[in-house]
Amino acid sequence: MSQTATLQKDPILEKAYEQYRSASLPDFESESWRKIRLGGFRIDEYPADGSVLETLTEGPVEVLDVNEVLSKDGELAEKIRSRIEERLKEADIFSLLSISSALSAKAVVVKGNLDQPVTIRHIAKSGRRFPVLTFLFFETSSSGCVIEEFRSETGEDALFTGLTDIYCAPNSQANYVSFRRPQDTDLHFLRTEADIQKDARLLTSVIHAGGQNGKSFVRARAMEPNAEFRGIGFHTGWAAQFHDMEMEAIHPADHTNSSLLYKTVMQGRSHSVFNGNLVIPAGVKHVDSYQSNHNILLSKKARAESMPRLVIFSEDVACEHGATVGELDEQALFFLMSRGLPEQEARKMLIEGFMGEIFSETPIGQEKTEDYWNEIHPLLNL
Amino acid sequence: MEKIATTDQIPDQGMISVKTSIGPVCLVSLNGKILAFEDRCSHDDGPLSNGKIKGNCVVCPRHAAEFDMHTGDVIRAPATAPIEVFPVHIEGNEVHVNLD
Repeated sequence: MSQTATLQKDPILEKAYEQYRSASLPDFESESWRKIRLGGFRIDEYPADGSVLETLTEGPVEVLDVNEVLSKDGELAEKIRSRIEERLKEADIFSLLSISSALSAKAVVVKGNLDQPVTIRHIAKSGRRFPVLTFLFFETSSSGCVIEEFRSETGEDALFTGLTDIYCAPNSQANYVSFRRPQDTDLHFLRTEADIQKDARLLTSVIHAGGQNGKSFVRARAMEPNAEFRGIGFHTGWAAQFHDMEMEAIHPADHTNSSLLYKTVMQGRSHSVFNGNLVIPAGVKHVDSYQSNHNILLSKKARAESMPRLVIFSEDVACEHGATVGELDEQALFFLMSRGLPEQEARKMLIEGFMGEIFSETPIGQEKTEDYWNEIHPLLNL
Repeated sequence: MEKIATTDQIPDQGMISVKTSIGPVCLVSLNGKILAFEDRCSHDDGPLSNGKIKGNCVVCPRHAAEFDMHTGDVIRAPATAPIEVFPVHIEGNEVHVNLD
């Protein structure tokens, strides 16, 4: 456990820090954590001293510093404290680190309709430990997109932890895109938590490439009727990389919808795990939910696992799940080659089409989509 | 070949897990011979180094799948896919393993 003192003074952050100091690593036998192999891992091997994280922001609304907001009190400060209080109820040690000792803590309040995305770019410049904390508030009837990037260019093994908390007020249309490009030797534990109110819709898109070992969570609660959650994601890994993505849709209210789509292209000896959780408590009616997970293995030694977990205590609901793991579709390959395409081109086209579904649904505009595509595409060695 | 341990680290008729560039590898000393295989059950990722040795087989601690430690073949369900085994070369007391 790190003994690095936190600089924040707000009581809620001090409470988080105390909780962090007494927290232990996750139980690696538990269902959520059992796939990740972190034998011998200790957080204090990743010291905070000397860590430099640059956070750049751009877009039509101001990105606020959480510590400044908390120091001035006011309505937003209260909202942030309330969200932190909520997260502290079941935070793992990595989330506690992000809350209590964030090198970058930002908040965005979206009002009205944003015509272009807000971008928050975290770039690890030097050092080894990078906790990040972000709050997004989509106010009533607002709409917009927030992009958060996590990048590392330290040149040494680093630990990236992040907690992004999203609140979607009634009738809001919220989009959140998380683009992650850790170094090949980094550990990464990034969590997204969201609450969606009446008639609101949230889309989260996670595009992730690289990192040695890590676990991601995307968890959304459709709190009130007509709340809708759409979670999509794309991951590619190579060498002996491991990434476990856990997406969870919780439906505590009637007449709510959710859908998950997660795709991976795995190379080398890399290993992907997808946990798709759906939770519908007893007595809840008219929930519509489906999830799908598709994985392409480009190497004999690459692995992908799909683990849907549907915890349904109610009867009047419609839920589906589906998953595929395998090599490229031979029939589709044959079809393209029979039209005159060389095999290499045909393979490339199929994989581009496969990942293109996620990129095209990610609402970040053509230019940004092309930037991300051009960054990810070469990593696939097509 | 990559040096990943020394012979004195591996107990006789016992197993150790070693972190390598391709993930954890299990080293076993079996009747005076050292064997190496991936420390991960092909069924549900159980750490085989925490399991038991049964003759020439390792038994996964999670669901009792069994694998031949020489060949990696599945001997007993629920695993259906073999585990990867790696060639071992001993130089003095150094254990070198071909992880390619």
